Amino acid sequence: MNHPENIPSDTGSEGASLQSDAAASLTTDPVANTHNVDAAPEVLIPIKTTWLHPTSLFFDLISHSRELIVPIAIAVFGATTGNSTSLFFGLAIFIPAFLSSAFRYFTLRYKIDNGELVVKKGLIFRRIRTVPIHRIQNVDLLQNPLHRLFRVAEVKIETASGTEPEAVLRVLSLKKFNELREQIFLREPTTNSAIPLPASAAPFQPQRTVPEITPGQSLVAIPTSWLIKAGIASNRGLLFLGMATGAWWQFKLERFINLEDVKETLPSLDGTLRNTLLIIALAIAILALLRVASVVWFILRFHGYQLQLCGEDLRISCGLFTKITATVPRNRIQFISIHRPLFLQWMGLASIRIETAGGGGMSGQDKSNSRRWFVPVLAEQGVADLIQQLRTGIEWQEASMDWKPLSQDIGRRLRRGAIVRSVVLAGIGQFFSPPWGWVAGIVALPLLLLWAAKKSRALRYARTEQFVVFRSGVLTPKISLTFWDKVQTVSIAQTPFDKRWKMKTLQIDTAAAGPAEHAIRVRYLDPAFAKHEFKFISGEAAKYEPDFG
Amino acid sequence: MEFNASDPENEPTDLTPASAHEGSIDNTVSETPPSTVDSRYYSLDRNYVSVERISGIIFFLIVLVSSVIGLIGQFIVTWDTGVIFVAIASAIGLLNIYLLGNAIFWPPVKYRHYRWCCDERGLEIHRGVWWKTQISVPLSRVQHADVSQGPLQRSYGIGTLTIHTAGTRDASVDLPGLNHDIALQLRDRLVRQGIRGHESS
Repeated sequence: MNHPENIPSDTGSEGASLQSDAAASLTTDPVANTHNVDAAPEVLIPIKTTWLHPTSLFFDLISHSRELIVPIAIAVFGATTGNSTSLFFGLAIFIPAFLSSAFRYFTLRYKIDNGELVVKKGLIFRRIRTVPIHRIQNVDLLQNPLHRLFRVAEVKIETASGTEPEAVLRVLSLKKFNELREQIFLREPTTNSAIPLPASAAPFQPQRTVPEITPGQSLVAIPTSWLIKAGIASNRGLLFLGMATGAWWQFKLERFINLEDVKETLPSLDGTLRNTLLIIALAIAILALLRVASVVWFILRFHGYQLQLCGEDLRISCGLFTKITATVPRNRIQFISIHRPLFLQWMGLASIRIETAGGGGMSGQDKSNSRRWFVPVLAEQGVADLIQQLRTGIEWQEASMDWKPLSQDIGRRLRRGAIVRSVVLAGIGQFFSPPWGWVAGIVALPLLLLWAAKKSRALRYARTEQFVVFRSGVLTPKISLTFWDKVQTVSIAQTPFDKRWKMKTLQIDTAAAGPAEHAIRVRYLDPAFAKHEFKFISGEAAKYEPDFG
Repeated sequence: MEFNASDPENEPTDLTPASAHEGSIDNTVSETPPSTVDSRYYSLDRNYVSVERISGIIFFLIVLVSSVIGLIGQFIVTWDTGVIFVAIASAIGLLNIYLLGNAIFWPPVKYRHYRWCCDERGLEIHRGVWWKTQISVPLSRVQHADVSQGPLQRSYGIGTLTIHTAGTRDASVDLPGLNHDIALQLRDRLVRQGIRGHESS
C-alpha cells in the first residue's frame, strides 16, 4: 500500500515551510523567510524572476502528447479506415491541450530569493511554491534529442518529502539550468548527517563554470557489452510484444499485408511439415525479436551509464537519445536490493536497486525509473565494493554473512505444501478431464518438490551490527538490506498454519515504497528466535532517528 | 465451535509476561505522569467488548431484516416453497445465526487477545486470535497520531488511537478500544517523545 500523504514529510520544525503553496503567502514575505537565512549560505546571488524558455510551449505540448497519443493515434487510424469524424475528435482534444500549454508557459515563472526557490504559476488560481534551497535534494535533468536541438532541458527539482517533484520546469535553456544548478549546489554540503565523509571520496566542491562536471569518484560505468547481456537476459521486450499485438488488433494492420503474397514467398513443402516448420520458425523469430527489443531498450535507456559519488551525493547519468541525470543523497537510501535473475547470474552479472524516501515513490514512471534501475547491470565482483560505497562504514561480505537458521521444519512444511498442491491439482485434472486427469498431479509433484527444496534453500535471514539482510527467490534471487535508522515498524505474525508448525513471520517495514519489489518478510522462523529478533530490532530502531536528509 | 470456549465470564488467558487486568489500567496511567516509562502490558478498556457487541448486533439486525425481506419477496414472486427455496432459506438462516453468535461471543475473545505496551522504545501492540500479530512502533518513527471516536464509542467513553509512520505497509497502525482519556494521554506521550527525539538529533 502506498499512502502518498504518509511518505515521510519532514518531521522537523521546518516541515511546515517546505511547501507553502497557499494563496495566502502571495508575496514573499521577508519575515517568513528569516529562519532559512542562517541555513542558506550568504554567497547566493538571487536569480531574478525568470520565465521558461520559449520552446517550452512546444515541449509542454509534446510531453502532454504522450497522454494524447492514444486519441491522436485512434483519430489518424480511424481516418485511414475512412472514419472522418474521428479527426474532429482528435482536434477537439488537441486544441484544449494547446491552450493549456500556452497558459502554463505564459504564467509559470521562478526565482531564487533569500535562499529559497520560488515557483509561481497560474493566473486566477495562483500557486506559489517556496522551496528552501538547502532542502533541495535532487535536480534531475532530462534531455532528449529534440531538447538538445534547441539546447534546452527539462528540470525536476525534488526535496525529501512526497512522491512528486517539488517543481517541474519544462523546459529551461541549458544556460538557465546551469545558473539554477549552480545556485542550488552552491549550498554547503549537508551538515545535518552524522556520517563522516570517507577519506576516499572527493570532498564536495562546487564549481562555478560548468556544475555538471563536478569532480566525483566514479563508481560504476557500464560498457555496452553488459547492456547487451542484460537485454538478452531480460524480458523487457515482452512490453513491445504486448504493444505490438495491441496495435495490430486495434488498427487491423493485417489489411496492409496480403497473405497470399506471403504464402508465395514460402518454399512449397508438404502441408503438415510446412505448418510445423512454420510454427517453429515463427516461435524462434518472435523469441529473437523479443531479445533484440530488450537489448534495444537497455541501450536506449542506459547508454553511457555513469554512477559517481560526489561528496554525499550519488549521481547517475545515462541515456542514448534521452539523457537523464539524477542525484541521490546517500543518506536518503532506505533500502538496497541486489537482484540476480538466473540469466544474469549465468553471465556473472547482477543488478542493484535502491529505494529512497520521497521522490523515488511509485508515481511518475520517468522519475522513479532512474532509481528503480539504480545500477541496471553490474559485474558480480563489483557488487560488494559498490554496496560498501552506498553508505559509509558498512561492511558487505555476502559469503561470510552470518545467516541465521530458519525453523528446522521448513523443509518438511514446504514438502507438505507441495504434496497438498499436487493432490489438489490431480483433483482438478480429474474433474475436468476424466479418467486420466489425475496424472497431471503426479507429473507436477516432482517439480513442486524441487521448487520447495529450492525455495527453502533460497530463504535466508541475517543481521549485522548495522543492518538486516533478507534473501529470497528461486528464479530471481533477491537480497535486500535495510538499516536500523530506516526501520519504521517491526512486527511478527503467526497464522494458524504457522502455529501448527511452530513458526512465526518477522516483518520489517520501511519507508521504501516499491521499486525494489522486495519486502522484508521472513517466514518460517522459530518462534523464540522471531521474538528475540523482534525485540532486538525494535530496540535498535528506537535508538536511531530517522534521517530523510 | 470456537465461540463456546470463549465465554466472557471466563478468566482472561495470560498471553504476555505481565498482563494486566482492566482495573490497573486506570490506576497506572492516571497515577503516573504520561512521560514515565512503563514496560507493562495493558488490556483494552472493558467497554470495548460492549461497543463491539453492539455494533456486531446492529450489523446482524441489518442483515436479518434484509434477508427476511428478501425471502418474503422471493416467496411472493415465485409462490413456491420448493427444495431450492428451503435450501436458500436455511443457508441464510445459518448465516444469521453465525452473525449473531459472532456478535455476542467473538468480542470478548478479541478483547482477551489484545495487549499494548508503551515503554521507552515505543508502542507495542499484540492482537489477533487465529491470525496473531505483534507490532512495534519506535517512538521516533511516530509521524503523528490521532484519536478518533464514533458515536457509539463516545457513549462508552472509548476511542481509537491511530499512529502514522513513514512506513508503507504499516503506514498507519490502529489501537482501538482505549479509554478515551488514556488514548489522549498516550497520543500526547507518543507525539511529544517522538518530537523531542527529533529535536535532540
